[in-house]
Amino acid sequence: MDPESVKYLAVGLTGSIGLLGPALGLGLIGYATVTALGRNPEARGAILTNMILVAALTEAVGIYALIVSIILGMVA
Amino acid sequence: MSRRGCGLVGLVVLILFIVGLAGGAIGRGMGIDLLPQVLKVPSLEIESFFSGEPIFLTDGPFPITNTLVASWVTMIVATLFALAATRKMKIIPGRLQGLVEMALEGLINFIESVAGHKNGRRFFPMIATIFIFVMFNAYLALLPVYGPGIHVTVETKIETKDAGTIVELLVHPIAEEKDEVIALIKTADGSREEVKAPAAGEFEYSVSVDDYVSEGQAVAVMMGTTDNGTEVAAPVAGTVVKLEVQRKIEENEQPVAKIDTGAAEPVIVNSPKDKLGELEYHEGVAVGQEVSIDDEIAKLTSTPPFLRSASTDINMTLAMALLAVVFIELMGLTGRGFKHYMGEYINVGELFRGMRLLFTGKIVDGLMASVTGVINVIIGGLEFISHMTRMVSFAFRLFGNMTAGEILVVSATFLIPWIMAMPFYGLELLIGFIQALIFGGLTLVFASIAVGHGSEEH
Repeated sequence: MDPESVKYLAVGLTGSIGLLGPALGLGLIGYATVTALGRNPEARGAILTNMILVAALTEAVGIYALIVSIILGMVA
Repeated sequence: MSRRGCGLVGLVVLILFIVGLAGGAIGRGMGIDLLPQVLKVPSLEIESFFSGEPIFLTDGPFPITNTLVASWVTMIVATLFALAATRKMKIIPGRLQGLVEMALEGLINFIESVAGHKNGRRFFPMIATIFIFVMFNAYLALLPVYGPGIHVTVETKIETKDAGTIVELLVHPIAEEKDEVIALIKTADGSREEVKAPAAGEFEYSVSVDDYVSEGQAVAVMMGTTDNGTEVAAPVAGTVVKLEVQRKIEENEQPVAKIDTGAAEPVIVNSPKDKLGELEYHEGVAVGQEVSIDDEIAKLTSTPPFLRSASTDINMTLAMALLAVVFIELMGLTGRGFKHYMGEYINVGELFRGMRLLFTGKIVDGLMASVTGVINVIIGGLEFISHMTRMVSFAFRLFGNMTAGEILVVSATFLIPWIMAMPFYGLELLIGFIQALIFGGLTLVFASIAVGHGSEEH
């Protein structure tokens, strides 16, 4: 394989593998939120606030992978 | 809104969607091209990914970037907003005052619910500042004047660093598509003929303006697509009026010229870092010319936007992260006292106890305590590292989210103009708020953990 194609492969793989973790994490967060809502529907406000906070934190990890793959694509 | 009004809005949206679909990049990809040039949305061109583009004092030691200007705008807008809200304060608040009071009350309730009453009041100014600044940055950046709204033209000089003879000029004009007009020739009867590029790629002119060419004479040589070079012949005889295509700098630090200084290897003059645009060689610069140190050989013209979201500059978010981390550590230091604070990082008490036990002859106890002590020292180091990596994650989280949002909106606009970007604007409103909440909230949580260990709260 020539360096150019390896570069594109690296960009794609960084994006896809890097986003696996946040995807799983978001799924777990959603699962936990729905479970919590089912158990205690009155605490909806607090649960949703925390869910959004943690979801954004998890998403940030995906953004790191995105940045790395953009750098790889643009600079390397 | 009445049912009829809804239907009307829906119809307009549908029409815009269809026109956008046909006229945008997707439509162009399918071969439909109905929009006039003015309405076309250009593809995304990030001149510099990590920081803003310098727009004032570009050649000086402290260039003013468009992101810096945007952060000043944010400060001014936030200050004016606060002044307007507090100008005529009443017991029974008006609309604006009521809004601000409600927002601040929500904020202080949130802070106190995390950090407790006493610490919450101490943290409030810092956390609220971070929150308001990040949110105003994000929201102001959605205005149409930001990003590609208003452009400024910036000219940068490219100077030689060594004396010598120019061996090669490395930047060639680029034809971006097949049949692009690369030159205009005025014939004897006054009509103008276009010379078109046979393929997309780099080429080199073999004539200059005002040269007379006979029919079939080479005007330019195409490179890149074919290895040996294809000659582009003049379709008619006449005078060259205009050379259309510009030289473009498309990469950071692209080589501009090669200079023979007498050393074994020729020295290469690069274009500046983080600056793309159109390059124009200085008049008279040609192969074989002698240059001395600091001779201006070329001029780079770029048109960065006047304002660009301040949070899409890593320097900005890094500065805020630095501020937040210093704030957290300072709160830890003042809240728990110097001894306790340093004890978290340099945890050698247990190690010393183990050593003392070892020397007084209690071998087994001493060994146990020493091992625990070594582990404690390592944990202290890890603690220090984890505090410092907060800075990086603070900076990259905000930077990444804001940059990703901007790219998302621009890409959506590029694919299907007008309609496609609208849901993403809504998303950006949400993300701007959440990121402000996260930046402020995490600072708050870390600060209350930092003071929390030895405190009497709750």
